[in-house]
Amino acid sequence: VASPSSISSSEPLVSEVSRARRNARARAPWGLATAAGMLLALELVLRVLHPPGVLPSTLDDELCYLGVVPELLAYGAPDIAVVGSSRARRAVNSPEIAAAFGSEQRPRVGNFGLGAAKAEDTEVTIRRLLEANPAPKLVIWPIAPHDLVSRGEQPGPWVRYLWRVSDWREARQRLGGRADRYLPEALRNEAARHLRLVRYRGPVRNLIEGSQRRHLLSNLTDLLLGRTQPTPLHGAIHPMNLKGDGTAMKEVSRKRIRRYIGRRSYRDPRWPNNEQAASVERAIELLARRGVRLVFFELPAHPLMEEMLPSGTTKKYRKLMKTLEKRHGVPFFRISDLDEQFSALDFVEQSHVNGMGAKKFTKAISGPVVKILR
Amino acid sequence: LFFNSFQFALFFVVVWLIRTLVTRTSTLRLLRPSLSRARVLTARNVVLLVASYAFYAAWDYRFLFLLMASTANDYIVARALEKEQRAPRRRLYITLSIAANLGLLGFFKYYGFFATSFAALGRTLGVEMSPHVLNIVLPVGISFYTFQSLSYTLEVYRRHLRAEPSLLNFAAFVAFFPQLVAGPIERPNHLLPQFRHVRPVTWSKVSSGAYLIAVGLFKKVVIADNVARVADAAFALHAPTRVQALVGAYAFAFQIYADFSAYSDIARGTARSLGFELSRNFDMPYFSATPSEFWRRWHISLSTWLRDYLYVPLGGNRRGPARTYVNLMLTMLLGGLWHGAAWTFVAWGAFHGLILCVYRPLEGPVRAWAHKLPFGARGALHGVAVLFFFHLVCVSWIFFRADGLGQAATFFRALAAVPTKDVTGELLVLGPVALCAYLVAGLLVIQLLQYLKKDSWLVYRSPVPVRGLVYAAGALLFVWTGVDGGESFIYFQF
Repeated sequence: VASPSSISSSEPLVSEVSRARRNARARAPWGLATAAGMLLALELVLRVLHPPGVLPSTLDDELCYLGVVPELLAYGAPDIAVVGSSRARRAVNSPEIAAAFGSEQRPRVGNFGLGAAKAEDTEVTIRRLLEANPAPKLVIWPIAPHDLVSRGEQPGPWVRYLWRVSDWREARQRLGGRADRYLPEALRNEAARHLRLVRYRGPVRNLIEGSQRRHLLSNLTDLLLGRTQPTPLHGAIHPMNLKGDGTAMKEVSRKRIRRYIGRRSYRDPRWPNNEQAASVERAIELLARRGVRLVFFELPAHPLMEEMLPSGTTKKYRKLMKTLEKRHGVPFFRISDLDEQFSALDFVEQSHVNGMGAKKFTKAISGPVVKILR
Repeated sequence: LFFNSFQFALFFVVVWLIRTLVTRTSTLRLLRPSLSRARVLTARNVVLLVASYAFYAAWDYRFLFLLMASTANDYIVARALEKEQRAPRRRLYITLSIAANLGLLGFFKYYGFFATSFAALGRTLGVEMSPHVLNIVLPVGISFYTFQSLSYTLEVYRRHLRAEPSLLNFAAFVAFFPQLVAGPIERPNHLLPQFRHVRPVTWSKVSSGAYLIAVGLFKKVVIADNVARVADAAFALHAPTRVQALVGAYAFAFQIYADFSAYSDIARGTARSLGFELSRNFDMPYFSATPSEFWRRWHISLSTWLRDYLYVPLGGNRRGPARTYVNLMLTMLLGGLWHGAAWTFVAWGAFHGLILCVYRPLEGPVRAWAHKLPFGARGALHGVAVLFFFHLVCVSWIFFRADGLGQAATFFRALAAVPTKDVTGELLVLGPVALCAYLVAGLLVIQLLQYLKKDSWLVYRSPVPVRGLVYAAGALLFVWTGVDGGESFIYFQF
């Protein structure tokens, strides 16, 4: 076999060299590098354009959880934050609270009540609020027995949208491996603190899922032009409270309430001394440590719901709240302490107040709130 | 240890590192200069076997002994088959292996089903029977590893394969963790020899393996788990409307495809990164125009297993048309029952058997007629055939997903009902339908391109800017719309 005599055996052939170079080029992950470059460019565009970026859903579903972190990162915490479940979200009209302070000292009020939230969800919301600088001056927590319904040894399904890695770590000490399934979202939330691309995942999902109701292009135009709908998080009245004359009502039947109460943990003899009560206590301590004032208001209950709850439920819940009031010096206002009476006409269904009920409740709590903050 | 969990990621990285360290002879020779290649091979297989057993024990360590017993049984039987020359003895040995494997499967998977079914039959005939139902937990992956192990003894029996002398190699083959719990059901001729050599894990293998893992994770976390929310919502309705039933059936069709093919992709990717090649389990099945093509593209490892070890031994198509149809029906019925002990799976298998029987006499004449058509018309006809057959498959998925035959009937009634006007309201009940529609459309566009170009690695091999764009879009979709929580894969239950 002839070999090129001009090239010594120790020197590689030209074709071999070029093949090696080609292989080296093929080996380098250029596709990944290009993708990283594209994502970086998009991140820079978002930083330069700085679109409002906060489009939390006005619906009481999981997407409203996704709005909390972007809202706080974009606008900071409000002076007064309302926290709790969707009952709190519907019962407190932020602009009316702000108006109670008069035009000179009008504070910024945001309603961070979240659909299906239990005390553990509210505790994490408070953690996020406290991370803001400056922190809120006052936290209002309209609370009901529903906030203390036990989920057992399982974190809530949507609490992960609020978690940071530190929350996962803490939950892991309490719940073990069960907390691990929420680690990816905790990591995403951590990344969202630094990357706009990750931060806007809520708005993007909202945009796409919202296209079932409106055309995708109209949603996209609204987002790009900043024509976002004002939301309770950002201090607007819940849109459902603005519908009609505010007296909307659905049928409330015993069957429906029985199904709603279902197998909730009220019947547990230990109730409400459970992990949710522990969350309330932890939240109180966290706020006290930061010097942020907290006030609890009992939420009005539909008369039929109150009648059908297992006997002693309301009594036990009030007892717990009074104990916490004594132990930590956090004021708890019962419905009877407020200057308003609520009837079935103030409810849209068995759980949430309607527009009229919200007006009454907000008016009733405004006086004590102004007094506390002044 | 689900493939889509952090625990698995950690487990895999540790196994990969140890495997790489062990197979680098130079590293080991630092510790022991006289180390031979055979020892390196043994060390690697020990690492893989221990890792596979640890992976399996993470579900339930008690069933690990079952896996070990099944492995030992088939190892001994195959060795005996290898040595034995007398036909009656060989038949006895293979019967022993079949009985042990199918007995195991029958006891754990079908005992309760048959006991309650016989009792129900007795009741209808007026004989009151109280079945002794045991609360048996189904060992994960039992249907997969028993079939894989059984194919080994059958191949040795047929003298297509020599019995594996090393118990370590054979145990590692049966328990190989990437495909242990949900396939692909590997053939011994393909996978077993790979345990006899240490192949170098090149950069291209790691890179293409990582690509397969990423594709699988995307399909599972972004597509399957999102579409599952719609399918679950539709199948949870007591009285679905026509639109809800239709969307539910479509959603489940894409959920099961994305979910199962995702598992197979991740299995192939992890195996490839460890230096092993697993067979392809899916080949764009929803672009099939006929049932026989569908079964060449869907769960390929199971359909070829059933073909080689059930359909062909039954006589296949060699004993006349009538017997061919009987064989087809029988194979599909058993294929359905393999998935689970429920009448819905039997109905699913029967439906597929039926469409195979209906298509079989038509395929040849239609193909001959289509060949005479101009190119464009032929393409359009093929498109219509694909679309029509896809809808037949969707019908079969209703049986597969339904909780019982009653629910399947409810769905069929809903599909035949008059459509209502409030379509938007009906879809809102099902959750993120729009999101799922966009995701599925994206998946179909990429698969259509792959299908037309006849290249499943189209994206991987595309020019750098295209690849970069697809990767960037994939990463964004992963972050924006991925469903967390390490949801289980559908085929784990089988």
